[in-house]
Amino acid sequence: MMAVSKIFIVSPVHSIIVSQSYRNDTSATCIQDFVQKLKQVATLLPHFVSNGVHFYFIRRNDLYFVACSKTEMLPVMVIEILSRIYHICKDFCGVVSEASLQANILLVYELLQEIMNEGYMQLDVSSKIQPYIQSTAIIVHKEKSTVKDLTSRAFGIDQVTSQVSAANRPITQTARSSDGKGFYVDVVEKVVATIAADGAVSNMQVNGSIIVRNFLAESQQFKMVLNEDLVIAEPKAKGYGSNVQLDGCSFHECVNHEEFEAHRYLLFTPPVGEFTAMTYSSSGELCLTQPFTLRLFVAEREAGSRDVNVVLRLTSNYPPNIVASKVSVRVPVLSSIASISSKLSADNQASEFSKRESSIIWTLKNVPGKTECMADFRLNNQGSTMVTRRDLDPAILDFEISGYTCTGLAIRHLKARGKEKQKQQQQQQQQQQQFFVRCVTVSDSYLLRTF
Amino acid sequence: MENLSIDYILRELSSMKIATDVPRCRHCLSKVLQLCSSIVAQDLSPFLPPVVNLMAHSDLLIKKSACLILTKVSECKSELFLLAVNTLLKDIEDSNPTVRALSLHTLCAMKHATFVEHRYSSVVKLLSDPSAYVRRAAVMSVVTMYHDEKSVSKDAVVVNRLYELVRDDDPLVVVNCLTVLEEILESEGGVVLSRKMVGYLVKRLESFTTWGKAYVMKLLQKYKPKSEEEILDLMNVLDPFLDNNCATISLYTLQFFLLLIKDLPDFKDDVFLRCQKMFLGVFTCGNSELISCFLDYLQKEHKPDKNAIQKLFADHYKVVFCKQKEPGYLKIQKLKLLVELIEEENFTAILEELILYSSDRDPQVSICSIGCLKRLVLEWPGVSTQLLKAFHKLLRSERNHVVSNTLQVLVTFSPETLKNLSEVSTQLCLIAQKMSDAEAVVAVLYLIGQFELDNADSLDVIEEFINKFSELDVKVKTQLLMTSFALFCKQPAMFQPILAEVIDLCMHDDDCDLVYQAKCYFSVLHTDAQTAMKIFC
Repeated sequence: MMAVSKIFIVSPVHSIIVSQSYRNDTSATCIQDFVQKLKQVATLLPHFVSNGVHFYFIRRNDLYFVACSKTEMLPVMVIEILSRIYHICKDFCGVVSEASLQANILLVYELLQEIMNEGYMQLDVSSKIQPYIQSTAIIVHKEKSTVKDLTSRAFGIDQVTSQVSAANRPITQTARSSDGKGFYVDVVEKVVATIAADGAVSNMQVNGSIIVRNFLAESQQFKMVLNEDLVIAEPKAKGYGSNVQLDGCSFHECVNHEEFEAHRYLLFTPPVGEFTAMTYSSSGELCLTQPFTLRLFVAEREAGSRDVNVVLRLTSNYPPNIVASKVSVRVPVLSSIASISSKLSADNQASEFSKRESSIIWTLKNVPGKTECMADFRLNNQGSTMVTRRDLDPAILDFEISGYTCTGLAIRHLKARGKEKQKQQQQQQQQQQQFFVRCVTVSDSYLLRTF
Repeated sequence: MENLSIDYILRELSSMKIATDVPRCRHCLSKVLQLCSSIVAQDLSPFLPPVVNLMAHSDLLIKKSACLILTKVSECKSELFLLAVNTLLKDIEDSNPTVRALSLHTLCAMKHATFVEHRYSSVVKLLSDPSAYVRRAAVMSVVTMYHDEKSVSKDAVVVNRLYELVRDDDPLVVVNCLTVLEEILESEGGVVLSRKMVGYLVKRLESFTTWGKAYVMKLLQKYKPKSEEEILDLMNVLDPFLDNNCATISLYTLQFFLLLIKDLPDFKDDVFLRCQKMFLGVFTCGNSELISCFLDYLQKEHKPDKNAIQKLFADHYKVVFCKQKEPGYLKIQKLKLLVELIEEENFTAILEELILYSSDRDPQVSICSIGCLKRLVLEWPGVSTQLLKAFHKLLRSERNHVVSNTLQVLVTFSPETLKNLSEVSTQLCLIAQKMSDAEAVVAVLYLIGQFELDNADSLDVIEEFINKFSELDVKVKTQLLMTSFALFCKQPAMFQPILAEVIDLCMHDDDCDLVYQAKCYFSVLHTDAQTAMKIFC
């Protein structure tokens, strides 16, 4: 039997937001069981058994999407189902947060009833569910901190940098609040890298995806042209060169990629809502340039003092016209460090010392390409042992660069193919404004080893 | 925050105006739903009268929500249910398919006798509904009915109708029929899969929804083809599903293939190779929970095929590397897989990775990683400089759990292996003074006995332990005795007074075993010290 018994959503403070029961084979108390477990066990596995009930959960935006079943199901399947449910909620509600789910509770229940019946999956595509949904979404904007708003107004600054990361900004909001139309393409690249102490790249890979969010009323075929010099090759067969070299890629089922081999373009008729048209990966240092080079130096302060100086030097390697919006460097230190003092190279930087986590955090805002930033930290050491480079391992770099892809992959051209040519020409200008193509490179795990 | 009290909402809902004010009514209903999910064991029966009234409302959303609330209060008893049944029965005749499906669903979800008596006729009627949406719901309602009265599965009308609907035009109806038949006929072995039926399902497989494909693929696993030719035919047709965007479909297809080729083991490697892209794809998708469950599945279900799976990852081991932000449980699973994948070529890279996580903030990750390092030391003779570096670093770590775990791993090595690690030993005396947990102290004392250390330092350490002897754990006392003895064997002149003192202390201890042991050492040394030293060293 492959039926889910209940699905419920638990808020960050462990209250139940929504609970939908599909079958009566598990008791109502099992929801409380899960919450208890959540409170007691520090690291809960995504699939576990408690009192004879199987629980499966995913954690998204601090919310837990939980399913339970009487008999064991393939955990991979339930996790995929929950991920799907999360995406459908995102398509319909715009943002998935406690507040937005509470506000849209009727909508969420409607969705849950259409997605499953008797614990078996029914419809799972937003566009197919849409006709059966009566509610209209209530858009909940992310809560802004009032203090920050006040200061910006007090100084007469109108433009405030958005608090939300570009990589996970809820696009649906703008689409829904304006005319309800729009077509968005995001190229998101996540960088995983480990840099050895001598600066050599010991591991570097990029996982990229082209995410399409489609809110156009009528379905049209789209043609998306990628870099013409794109090469797909085994990691070993790669060479130097400025062209885009990928290890491999896969496509969403609605994407026709017959012409991709020869002409590097994709044809697709997008379903309504969000989907990932293409995912790709690339690895090796030959074809990827590091967006940043981070160096770390340790200098002894003076004889007789146990304090040390740690100098961080961050060089940005991307083109000068591109600006990384958020960059932060986190360096772990010994717990014997009592305090730090810092000297930073520019005003847009800040440093923070967390005694609890024993780490220094250096944050930089708006770092333009081809520049160098420096930070000089003096660590006040109260322990008996000397601080050396190996005590600062590993430094973690976090960044977000919009308008830049690490692999160089770009969408050269995006065009809607209407059936009637005339109509297309008329609409072209209008539509051109409705397409939004963005690229962003974010760090997934970027480590600098210090010894 | 708006007032959420029951009385307030009840008053709102009962007022006459509410029926005409649709947005207000929707809002109130959503408050009721928030109530019933947020507070457990909340008695919602007071809401029954207004809710039953609203079930007949012309607004579809209000109707839907009212029905939902009704199913949530299905346990209580009320005369109002009769009214509700009437509304539902009227709605089953409605011209709107959504209303028909909704009312049937609600009717079946209610346990009360007034609802149950109308169930059967309504389900049978709607199984032949012109709308696919209603048929889907009707098919699923059979399961609900079955769980209340098992006799349905013997009912020829329903079962035959379901078998007929397997040939329905709507793919979802087909899948629903199959899953329902499989469940209600469980005692008889589920759906009968003839060769013809399998052929039909395979042909339609492409038209099913993602989950439909998964359910059907699972179902197909029951089928056993008669000839090798048929097996190959099936494999040819189903081959594309091995590499699907949905991991579930791929895994079920893989399971099916492995069953098919049970007697054709030569194909096994090829089948796994076809899954390679999907396997690697899971790791790059960024869904931690999925990766974790996937790894868990590989560990549990495919133990015999371990080698085949390792081959898939061999060239792509970097995909498995941990990411900083991943949850601890996933890091542990990944590290365990990585250590399986280790080979001559990737040794350095994987070792680096293990070293990196051996001092992780999460104690569990650190233990796992150190455990993996231990395996490497044992399985790869000739300790590399990197490993030495790793142990150096680990012992220097200021997190006590890291040091403690490292010591416990070091203890398990044979004396030969330890010789290679002798550089590490310089820090031991320092650590011995710092550590507090018994396990770690035992380990460090043992190691002090094993390594050729600077005697003055060891002497200091032992003396320090003697000074606080009464506070020590029994395990530590025992180890102290053994270490002193080992040191005495190496440097009799220097350690004799110390040993004497330790033996004396132990002989006056409360623990019988310890006293006995101390006496044993004493008598042995007393009888023939030279031979004793030869035996013990």
